[in-house]
Amino acid sequence: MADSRHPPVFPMPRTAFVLLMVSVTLAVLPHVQRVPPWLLAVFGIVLVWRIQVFRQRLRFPPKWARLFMVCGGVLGVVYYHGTIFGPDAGVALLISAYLFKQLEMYTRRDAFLIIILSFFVLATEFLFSTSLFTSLYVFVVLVVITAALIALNMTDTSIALWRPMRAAFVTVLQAVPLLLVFFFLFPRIGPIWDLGMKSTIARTGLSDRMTPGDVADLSQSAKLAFRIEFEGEIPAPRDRYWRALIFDRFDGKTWSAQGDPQSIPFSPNRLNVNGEALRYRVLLEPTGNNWLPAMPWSQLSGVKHRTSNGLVHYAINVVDSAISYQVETFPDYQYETEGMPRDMWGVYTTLPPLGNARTYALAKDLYRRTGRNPERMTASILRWFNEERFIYTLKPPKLGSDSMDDFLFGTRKGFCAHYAGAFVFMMRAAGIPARMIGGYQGGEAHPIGKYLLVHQYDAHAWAEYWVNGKGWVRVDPTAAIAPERIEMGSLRDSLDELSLLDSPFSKMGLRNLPFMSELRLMIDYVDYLWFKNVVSFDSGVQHKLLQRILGEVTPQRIAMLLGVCGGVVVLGLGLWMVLSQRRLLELDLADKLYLRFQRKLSQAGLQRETGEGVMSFSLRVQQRFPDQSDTINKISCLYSNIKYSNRSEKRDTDKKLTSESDSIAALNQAIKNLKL
Amino acid sequence: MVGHIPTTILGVFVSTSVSVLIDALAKVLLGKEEQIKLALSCLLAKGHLLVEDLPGMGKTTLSHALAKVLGLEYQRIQFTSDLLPADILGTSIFNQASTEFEFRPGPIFTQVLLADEINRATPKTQGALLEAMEERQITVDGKTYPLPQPFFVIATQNPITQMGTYPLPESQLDRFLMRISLGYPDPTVERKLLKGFNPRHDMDQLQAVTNQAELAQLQQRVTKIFVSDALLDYVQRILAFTRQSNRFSFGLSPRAGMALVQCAQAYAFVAGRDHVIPEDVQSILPAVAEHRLAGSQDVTGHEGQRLVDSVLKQVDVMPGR
Repeated sequence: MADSRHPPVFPMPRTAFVLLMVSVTLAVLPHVQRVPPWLLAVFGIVLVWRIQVFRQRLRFPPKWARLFMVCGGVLGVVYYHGTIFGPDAGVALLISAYLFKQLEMYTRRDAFLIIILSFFVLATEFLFSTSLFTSLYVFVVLVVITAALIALNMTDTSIALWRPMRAAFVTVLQAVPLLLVFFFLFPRIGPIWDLGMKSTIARTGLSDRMTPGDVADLSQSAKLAFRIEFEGEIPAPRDRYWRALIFDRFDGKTWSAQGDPQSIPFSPNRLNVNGEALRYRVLLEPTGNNWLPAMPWSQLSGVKHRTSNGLVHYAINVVDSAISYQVETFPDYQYETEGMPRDMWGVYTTLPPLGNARTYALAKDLYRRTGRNPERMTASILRWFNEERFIYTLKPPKLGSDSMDDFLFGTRKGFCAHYAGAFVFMMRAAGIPARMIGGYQGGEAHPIGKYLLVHQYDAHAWAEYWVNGKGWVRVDPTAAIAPERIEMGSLRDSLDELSLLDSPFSKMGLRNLPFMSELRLMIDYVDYLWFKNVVSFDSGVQHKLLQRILGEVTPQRIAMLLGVCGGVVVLGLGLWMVLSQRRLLELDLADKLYLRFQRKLSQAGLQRETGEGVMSFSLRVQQRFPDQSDTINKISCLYSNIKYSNRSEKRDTDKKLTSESDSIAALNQAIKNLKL
Repeated sequence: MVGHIPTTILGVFVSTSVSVLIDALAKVLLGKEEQIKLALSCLLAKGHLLVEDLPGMGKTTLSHALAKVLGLEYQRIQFTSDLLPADILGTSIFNQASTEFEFRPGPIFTQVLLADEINRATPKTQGALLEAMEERQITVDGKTYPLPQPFFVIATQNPITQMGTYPLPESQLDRFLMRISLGYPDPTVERKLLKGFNPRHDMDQLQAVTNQAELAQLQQRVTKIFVSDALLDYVQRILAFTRQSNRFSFGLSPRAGMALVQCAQAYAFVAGRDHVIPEDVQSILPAVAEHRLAGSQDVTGHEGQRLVDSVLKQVDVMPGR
C-alpha cells in the first residue's frame, strides 16, 4: 500500500458514477474535432482506468504518475498548438486537466469539483458554435450533469438511473423562466479580455490572397457564408454580386488585397446614384476577417464599419461571431466618373514588368485594333475567351512562372479567378485601370423562408475596369466561358463531388436523394430562425427592447425590471408548485377538516404518525387530553364514518345523520369546539 | 395500537354468534385473543390458515378448538418425509366381490384438516395437498371427487428446525390466506398453565357454538361488509408502496390485494363493524402479507415482518403523502 497515500475513497453510488462518466464523455464530445489527437487517447485511457478503479480492478495512479501526466499534458498542448493561450489551446489544456482530475477523484468533494468542471467545459463549446444544434446539445448534457449532481446527493445507493434524470430534467425546466428573464433583460457585457477568436475560425472560401496558378484544387466548402433577408423581391441570380474585397496588386503569381483597406476613404461626392434602393439584412456567419459582403453600392447600418474607395465595407472589429446588419443597395450607381486620384491610377494599372510577353503583346494588339476604346476592348477579350477553347474547371492544372502566358496560350483551363485575373492583366497591359473583385455570387433562394443562402462554394471573383465618364464598370469574364455559373445562381450542380464536401450527407452518400436536399433546407430554415431570433439578439437589439419597456435605460431601471421579472417568475413557480401539490392531494372536504383538526393538535404538540389510523390516533389523543375525550372521539368517529362507512345504508337505519353534508357540518362544528 | 377500538361507537352492529365463538375459544387458548380473531377472520373469509411456531406453543390446540367450536368434522395428518400423496388423498383398491376398483377416501375428506408440520413432507406430497386446497376437489385415477363443504386446511410448520424439511416455495405459501404465529404466553397465563391448567381437558368440554349452516351464513355476511373508496385507496397505496420501494424484491400481487380486502372485511365483521376502517387492514396486514413478501436482499426468507412494519409506518391512511 505504498502508493495509496491518498484520502480514503468515498464509496460513490453506482448510479452517480455512471452518470458522472456519461457527463464527462458528453462534455468532451463536441470538442473532439478541435483538441489534439493524443488528448482523445488520454480521454479513452482515463475513462477506462477510472472505471476499472471503480470496479476495484485497478488502483489510483501514484503521485509521480499524476505529476508526469500533468507535465505531459501541458507540453502536449504547447507542442500541438504552439501556445497555451487562445481558445483552442486553452480548451485543450482545460480538458486535459479535467480528464486527469478523474484519476484524483477520491472524496465526495472531488466529485463535486468534477461536476462544476463539467459545466465549465460544456460552456466552452459556446466559444465555437452558437447554433441551435449546439444549444440543444448543451441543454441535454446540462440535464445529465445535473442528474449526476443529484445522484451524488442521493443517499439510497441502488437508485434507478431514471430517477435522478427525471429530477434533473424538472430542475432544468424550472430554470427556463429565469433563463428567459436573463436572456432578455440582463445587460450584455462585452468581452473583458481578448480571446483571440480569429485563430479558431477555419478560413474557407474567400481569402485576401489568391494564387490561381498554384491552386490545383479549389478548396470548396458547403459551409454557410451568410444569409440575406430581402424586404422586397430577391433579385435575379445574375445581379447578385456580393462584394467583399478588392484584389488590387499582382506580383506575377498572386493577386492580393492590400491596397484597398488602407487607401483613401470613400467619398460621397464622387458617387452618382439613380433609381430605387434594395433593402435587405445580411446575417453573416463568423469569418475571422473584417469584410462585410454587400452588393454595390450600399449603405450599411447596424454595424460599426468604414467604406473604402473601392466601395468595400470593412467592419471595425473582426467578425469572430455571427452578426447581422441592415443594407440599402442602389444597384444603379456610378463612381469616380470624372477620374481618380493619381496614386490610385498607378495602383490599378501596375503589372510586374517582366514575363508574360505573349499576353502583353496580345493585349496591346487588341487595344490598338479596338481603337483604344476600353469598352470595345472588353468586348473583344470576352469574345476571344468565348471563341477559343477555354474550359471552366475547378481542378485546373498548375501554371508555370509566366502564369498568364501559360494559362492563356497553354492550359486554357481555370475557374473564375483565372479568367478575372487574365482579364484584369490584359486591361492593365493595355494601360486601362482594372481590378479584380472577390466576393460571392448567386446564392440559393430558400423555398420556405423568404431569404437567400450564400455558401462558401458561392465564392467568386470578377473584374472591374475604369472608363472615363462611366466610372468603374463590372465585367464577369467567367460568364463568357461558363454562363450557367452566373445564370443558375450557384455552382452546385457542376461541382458534383466537391460541392457538399463537408456536409454530413455527402459522407453518407445520401446527397443525391431529393428529400435529403429538402431536409437540408429545412434544417437550415430552423437554424436561420434560431440565428435571427436568438443569436442576433445582441446588446443593440436588447437596448431597443429595454428602451421600449423602460423609456429611459438606466442601470437602476434595469435592476428594477430584473427584480420584478425575477420575482414574478419565482412567485409563479412557487404558486405552481403549491397548486400542483394541492391537485395531487385530491383532498375532499372531510379530509380538509380533518387536516385542520391535525393542525390544531400539532400546535398542542401531538402529531399523527404517517401510518397511524384515525381511530388509533384518536385513542392516543384522548389519553393526552382526557377532558376533551368526547369531542375528540366524536370528531374521529364522524370523520371515519364519512370516509369509510356505507352512507346510503345509513340513511335508512340512522335518522339522525341523514346526509353527508350534515356529517360534514357536524364535523366542522366539533373541530371548532375543540379547545385544547 | 390497533384492535382496541370500542366497537359500539362505530357502527352499531354486534354479531352475537361471533362474540360467542371468540369467548369459547378464549377459554381454551388463554391470552391469545388477537390470534383467535385473526384465525377466525381467516376461516370466515374462506381461506386456509398457516400457523408457524415452535413446538408446544398451542398450534394444535388452536386448530382443534377452532374445528370444535365451529362444529365441523376434523382430521389430523402428521406430515413426515415418507408420507405419500395417496396417504392423504386415498387410494383405489380392487374389490374381489364386485371385481372393480373401489376408491377409499383418505383423511383429506373432512371439513377441517390439520396438516401438522407440513414442511416435513416431500414436495410431491405437499403439492398434492396444496392442489386440493386450491381446487377444493381431488383427482385419483382419472376420477374427480369433490371435497366436503366447507373445507379448511390449518397447516402448521416449525420455523427453526430446518433439518430434513422441504420449505414451501412462495407460490405455495400464497395458497394460505393468512400466516400467523402464536408466540409465548404472557406471564399470568403461563403461571396458570404451570399451576396445572390443562387446555386439553377443557377442550373435551368445548361445545360446538355454531353449525355448518350458520357458518355459511356468517361467511355470506362477511362479503357484505362495506368497503369504501377511501379504504380501497389506502389498500392501493399499500400495494403501490410494496411495488415501488426498492427494499422489496417484488411487490404484492393482485391476489394478495384481494386477500387483504377479504380479510379486512372478515376482521371488521369479527370486530362487530359493518364497514372496514384502515385499522382493520393494519391488523390483518402482517398475517396476510408477511409470507408473501421478500426483501431485496432477503436471504432467510423471514424479512417479511420488517417489510410489513415499514408498510405500516410509511403508508399514510390519509390521501396525499
